[in-house]
Parts: sequence; structure tokens; C-alpha cells
Amino acid sequence: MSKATEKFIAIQTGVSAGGEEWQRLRKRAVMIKSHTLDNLDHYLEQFASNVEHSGGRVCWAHDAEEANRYICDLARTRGVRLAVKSKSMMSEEIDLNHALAMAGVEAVETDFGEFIAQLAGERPSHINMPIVHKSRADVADLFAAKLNVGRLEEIKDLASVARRLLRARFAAAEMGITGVNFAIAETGTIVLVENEGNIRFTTALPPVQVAVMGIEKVIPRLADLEVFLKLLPRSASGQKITAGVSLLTGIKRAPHEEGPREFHVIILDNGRTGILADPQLRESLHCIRCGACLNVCPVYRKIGGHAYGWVYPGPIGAVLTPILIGREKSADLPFASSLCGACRDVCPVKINLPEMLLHLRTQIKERPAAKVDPPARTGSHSPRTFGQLLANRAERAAFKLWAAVMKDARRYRRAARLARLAQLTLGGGKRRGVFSILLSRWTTSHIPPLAPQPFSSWWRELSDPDERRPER
Amino acid sequence: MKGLAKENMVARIRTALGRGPLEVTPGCPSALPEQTADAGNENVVEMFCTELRRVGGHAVHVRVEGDVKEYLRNLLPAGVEMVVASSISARVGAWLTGQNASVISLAHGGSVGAAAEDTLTSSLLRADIGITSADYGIAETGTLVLITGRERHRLVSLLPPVHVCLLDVRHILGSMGQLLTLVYRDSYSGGAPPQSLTMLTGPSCTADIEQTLTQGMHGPRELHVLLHMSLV
Repeated sequence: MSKATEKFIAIQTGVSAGGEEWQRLRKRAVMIKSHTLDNLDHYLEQFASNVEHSGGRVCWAHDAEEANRYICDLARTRGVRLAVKSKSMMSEEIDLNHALAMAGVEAVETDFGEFIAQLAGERPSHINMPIVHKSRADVADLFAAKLNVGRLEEIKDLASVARRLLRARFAAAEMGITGVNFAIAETGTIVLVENEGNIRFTTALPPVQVAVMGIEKVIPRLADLEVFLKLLPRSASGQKITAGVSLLTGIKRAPHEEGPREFHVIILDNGRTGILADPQLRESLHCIRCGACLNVCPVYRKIGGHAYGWVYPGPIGAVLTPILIGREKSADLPFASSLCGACRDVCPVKINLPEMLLHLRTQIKERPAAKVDPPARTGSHSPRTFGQLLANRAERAAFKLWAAVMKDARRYRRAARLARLAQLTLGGGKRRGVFSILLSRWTTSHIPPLAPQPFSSWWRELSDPDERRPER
Repeated sequence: MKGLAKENMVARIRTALGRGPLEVTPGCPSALPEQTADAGNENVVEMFCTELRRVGGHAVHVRVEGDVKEYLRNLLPAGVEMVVASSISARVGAWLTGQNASVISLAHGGSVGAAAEDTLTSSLLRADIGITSADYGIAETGTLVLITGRERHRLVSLLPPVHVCLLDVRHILGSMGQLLTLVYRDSYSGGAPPQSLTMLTGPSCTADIEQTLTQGMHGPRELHVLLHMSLV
């Protein structure tokens, strides 16, 4: 019986048509996304009316405050004391957990990584690998200190502790809160993608279900979903499909059926119409939050996710953060990039992140550094001088973010671990991990070939230089 | 208030797009070209098994009820009493006759009674094995598709550490695209789409710690698919 549990997901090469198939999917995805954004009012209204038609309720929220108020009021009127949450970047964006705590509702994160981050009192440092900055030993220490379980060395034992603890919470919770990966306009269906099963728990057990989504999550038809269900897992984790995909529509239809009695969707703007209005930034709303741009970004790997200071790290964070929280509050972020273009090449929905970073740089008034001559005002400066200026600014910006992280020695160690991984993979040679394979797409722009060996085994080899030396 | 919030957001979107209300319903760009593959044909079934095994699931062909009985008997350790939850027909009880197993039955579409409803979750939390059927399979990814309405399988397929799923080979489709087309067609002939459609590919897993894959996170640790032809 234990055979299956010993097996890894065998991610292997040759499972797709390769470059052409990938390009076809990307092109299709961009077409669907831009068509949807051009007609966003229509598709959101259609989606909302179908949600209501299937017994759900819709809240149109302008900002974080409106969204949080709706959810907290709902919790209050339904007598909710405990809410279970599956991972949602949107709920991070609006700091929903804090709002719920203020309203006397305990919100428990149920994604394994998020659960660990919450236990540690930290924010996730990656879009879909929330505790990439923590080692197994860190988690063992944390569980021993906070959960009174002794010091467990094995990942499967640590996972078992979380499994056991969270099952009790799932069963007791009166409210389940999720994000939304895709919202289907023609049916009012929300689509949620996961590997762990915590989303299935969160949406099957509690009587009140809440889903929080940005306005850009909608797509027109069920038939359009296929493209995204192929692009997202591949870009996020190298899987063909995740272990679980849930398509949920409204409330349960009969008393003895499974599913929630109430279903509430919060459609949230929170600054996104501002992005929609700027043609040079609009495409950032295509983002499906796969995290691929983080994994290939040399700056992200150097400084770690926390250095970006807000919810979204990496290249997509450097674009979204200044727009969503204000350019003056995160003026350094668009400069914390070497503009190497890896993020653009790897993006499944072809967001031109480097161009957007440049656009934001020109929007944020450039202050010349002491040692760098500002470009001539009348526009006769050579591109090279301006390039140097940007490079310098980029270096300073990255250093500034990095210095903030370095104040915390433990965090620095984790960031350094990522950087080491980057160096090893960038070094090439026979030992190529997932990241180096992704990097090879800088020139080929092919589908990221699925790793011939599970990422985990590469990771083990790569992450402990004491046990092995990189081949030169 | 609510209407106002909606009107405001729609107005902001139109301003951002620099236009007024749409006068005609927008035409979608065409979906991916429909792939054709015969459901249930040998290649499709073979591909399903290969893909399922690739993600750590088990695929076994069963021809007669005796095969199912035997497979279940081998899953149950001797000498330990096991709790088996089932969302398919009462025959599961018969399959387990003579085994040291007790059965929690959530039969097709029926109610388990108000009193049982209250304690259902806690009973299911004690179950060692959950047995369900699947509405469809998807060959290209080795995916099971479970749709609510006919069967109460959401918790039975989720809570027990071992999930056994019966799948009629004639319901194995080639691709995700075929599935979505079918579901769309069904939902528009019969009203709204099902409340829940779950796609399951292999046992639940996590790679959150050091990106090392561990199977059996919140959901099942093992997945066994029994492929049959009109057995259930």
C-alpha cells in the first residue's frame, strides 16, 4: 500500500508537442485575455448574473475596505467564529486576515506553506511557493516550538501534523474563503486549482463559501478554460495538470447534496481599473499568477520575496506594486531589475514586463545619483550613458531592498540559499535544474521542457553544497 | 446600495476603456479547435493508464465483480477492522462480505437521514478507504472527473487516506477540451452547470517544503482506479 506514497510525480520530457504547441497556447491565451479586457464590463455583468442565477450573491467592491467590510459583516450575521482559508493572493492584497481578526473571526490558512507562514507570523515570499525562504529544519523548529509535537525531521511527518490539525479546523469552520483562478462568464462558475486538497475541503465542508476575485479573473466561456488549465500548472510547477481542479457553480441544489448553503463572490477592483486605463500597463492584467517570472528573475533570486515589501514579489510585483499601492510608496521597485528579459520570455501570457518596468521608470521621476551624471536634458544623451544610469539605479535599488532583508540574518540565509541555487543552475553543465531549463528559453522561447527528473531530487542536489560540488 | 456599487464599477471600467456601453454582444475569439478521439477506444484507455501511473496513481482493469472483491480484499490488511465509505450502490456492502470491514453508505442521490447528516463528517473522518465512481476520465492527463448531482462523492473521495474509484472505460475522453464541451452541452440542456465538478489527477500532494514532493497532503495518499465496463 505504501508504494504509491513513495512515488514522486514523474515529470518528464516529451509529454507535449513542444515549442509549437506552447506558442499556440500562449497566443490563444493572450487573445482571450485581451478580448475579455476589451469587453470587461460585459463579461463581469454576465458572470455576476449567472452567479446570482445559480443561487450565489455578488459583492462589487471598489477597494480593500469595501471587500473586507462585506466579508466581516457576513461573518457577523452568520455567527462565524472560525473561517478556513485556501491560498489567495487577493486576500493577502486586502489583508483580509487582519480585518477578520478585528471582527473577532479566527482565519486559518490551510495551504501547507501558508499555514507554516501564518504560524511563523510571516508573509509568503513567493506567489505559489510561499515558504521557499524556509528550510525543512526551520519548519521542524517552528512546529516543535509552536505546536508541541517534538522535533520532526521528515517532511511527510511535518505534513501529517498539519493534515491532522487542519482536519479538525475544516470540520469546525462555519465559513470557507478562497481566491479564484478563473471565473467563467457564461456559466457563473469559479475555477480553483490546487495540489493539496485543502481547496476541496474549504469549498465542500463549511456552510458559507466566500470567493474573492480581482476584476481581471473573468474569461468568457468554459471552452476557453482549457488553454489556461494547460498553461498555469506547466508554468507554475512543471505539471501537466494539478492534482485537483474544482469548477464550482452556486449553492447546493438539494438539502442532501454536498456543498455550501451560501455562496458569495466578491468582485474587487482595488486599483485595477487604473491599470486598465493605461494602455502600456493594461497587459499586466493578463497575469495568471503562475510565479514563473519570479523563478527566472536574477534579482528575485538574489534578494528574496520579502524584499519587495508588499504582496507580489518578483518582476510582476515590481510592476503591480507601484501601480496598486502608489508609485511614490514603492519608487525603487521598477529599478530593481536588470531588464534581462527572462520574465517576458517565460511568461505564459506574454506580458512584456521589462517594457512596463521602463514605462514605470519614466513615470517615477528619476533622481540622479551623486556619482552618476544625469542625462542631458535636451535629449542628445547617448543610449549608453542612459543605460549606465539605469544600471546604476537598478543596482542601488536592488541593494536597498537587499539591505533591508539583510538586517534579519535568518532571512538573509534563506535569500542566499536561493541565490546559490541560481548560481549553480546558471553555471550550466550537466546538472541542470528546472530553473536552468527555463532559462534556456531566453533564446529558444520553447515550451519549458518538463524536467526529466523530479524537481525535488535536483533541489536536494543543488541546495546543499556541502554534500556536493557543482560540476565545472 | 448594491446596485450602485455595480453601476459605479461598470462606469469606471467603461471610462478606463474610453467608451460607453456596448451596443452589441461581443463575439468571442474561437476556442481551440476541437480534437476528436473516440471515447473508450483502446489507445485512449492506454493513455489514461500511463498518465495516471505517471502521477503516482494505480490503474487496474476489472472484468467481473469478483475482480473488484479481490482487489479490495488485497487493500484491506488482515486482522484490522477497517471503515469503508462508499458513495456508489449498495453492492459495495456485498463486495466486502466476509471482510473485517464496516461500510458507511451514501447511496445514489438518496438521503442518509437528518440525524446521520450531522455526524456524517466525523464518521467519514474515521474512514480508511473511500469508494466512488467517476463520471469521466481524461486520457491526456490521467484525470478523473467527478460531478455532483448523481452521487455524493465530494467527501468520500477526499477524507479517507485511500481513494478507490470505479471508472467505466467508455467514459474516458481524449482531452480536456472534449470534457468542457460535453459539460457545457449537458449544463445547457439540463439547466445550470453542476454545483461541483472536480478533476482529480493522482493523490493529493505538496511541494511546499524545499520543493520536495510529498504525496498525501490534505486529501488521499493513494489513488486506485478500477477500470470496468458497465459493472456499476
